Amino acid sequence: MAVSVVPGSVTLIANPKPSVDPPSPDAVNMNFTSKPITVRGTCRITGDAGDKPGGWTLGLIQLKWIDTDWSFYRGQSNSDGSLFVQAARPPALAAAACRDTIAVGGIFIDNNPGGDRTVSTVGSAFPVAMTAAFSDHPSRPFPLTRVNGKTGKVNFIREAQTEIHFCTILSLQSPAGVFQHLKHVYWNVHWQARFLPTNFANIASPWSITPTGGKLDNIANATAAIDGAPNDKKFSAIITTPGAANCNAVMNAAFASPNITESNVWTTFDVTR
Amino acid sequence: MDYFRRYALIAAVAGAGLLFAAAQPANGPAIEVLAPGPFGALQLVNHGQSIRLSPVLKVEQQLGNDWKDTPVTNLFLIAQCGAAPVPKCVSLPAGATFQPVPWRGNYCNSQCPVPCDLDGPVPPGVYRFVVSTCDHKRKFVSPTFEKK
Repeated sequence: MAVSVVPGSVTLIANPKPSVDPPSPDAVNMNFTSKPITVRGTCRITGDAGDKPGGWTLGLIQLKWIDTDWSFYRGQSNSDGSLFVQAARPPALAAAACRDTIAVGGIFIDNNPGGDRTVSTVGSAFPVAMTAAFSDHPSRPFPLTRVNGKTGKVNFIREAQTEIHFCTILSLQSPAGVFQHLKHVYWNVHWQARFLPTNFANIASPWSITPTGGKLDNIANATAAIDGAPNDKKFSAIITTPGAANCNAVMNAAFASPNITESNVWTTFDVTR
Repeated sequence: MDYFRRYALIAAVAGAGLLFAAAQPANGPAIEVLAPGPFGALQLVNHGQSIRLSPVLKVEQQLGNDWKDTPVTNLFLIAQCGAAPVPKCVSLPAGATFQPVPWRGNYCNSQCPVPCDLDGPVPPGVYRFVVSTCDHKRKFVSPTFEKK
């Protein structure tokens, strides 16, 4: 018998589940922040006499598969114009789906050194108990103001929406590099709100912030664990593929160079484009 | 805590001396990198000639006898958040003192607010800042400091 997972030994739990903070401005940005989700997985591997336990790794792989990130700005008066900033569509967004690691090119989540994976050691006695855990708290900053290139006037953030959907997979990697995806959870964070400065001449003054989007926004969710690998093609292309896009790098680039549409008057924009 | 502070101060003085001795040609630039506290605060003092530095501020963690690069991103030699884009090089005139925006101790949202999908605090341990010249040929390290 080769090394195998002990039946019934695999667990994957999201606790605490994620939660979102109300949008909050600082001197520069309207910030969408969240309280951490913690995901913890366990399993035991076993084998027969002669099987070698060394080098098996239990870790977590996180993929992002949905991203909504837009913001709408408006001048103080109609003639100051308005503009729409889209960070979740090409060309600003280079990849719709990506893998989430701190180090670009990584596969297993790597933001909890010493806790985010277990590597079984040579000489361990079967069964070997393994754990992998991490926490995450996604965030988005939207600049409070932007200059409208058509009017030359300052436009103020009027509304923004972010929705980020993740799939986190508990995976066992053999010493030969073969992955066995054991369980997965889906989780997400949503924000949407409208904003208005109480003093256009001093944006450090308090802002009026009105949550929008109904029951589906300004909320976070996590599912119970689902057995095996996610079966959507969106995931299979990037779960362990070398060179998959790195989520933080992709979003940093998208926010640094978003798609901007400007108008010389107040107008409405199609936020789906 | 007090012990560590004394240790850090001693290390700072000793480290600065060693740094200058090792990395300081005659009449060359002499960047002193200080970590004066509180956690994450950083100060650069140019005791030598004008110098151009890489804007990227690196963080290293002490693991045993080695220093390992910590994959902190979005950490730069910038005086404030939300200002102009990060330049390709940062000029520090002779005699100048520069105090960048402090490090928050996170991997991604490390200094100024940025979009992060995966983030978190670096683990507790002993760290140091590393500043490089713009051509990356020379580096200057801060005294050690502790992340709890």
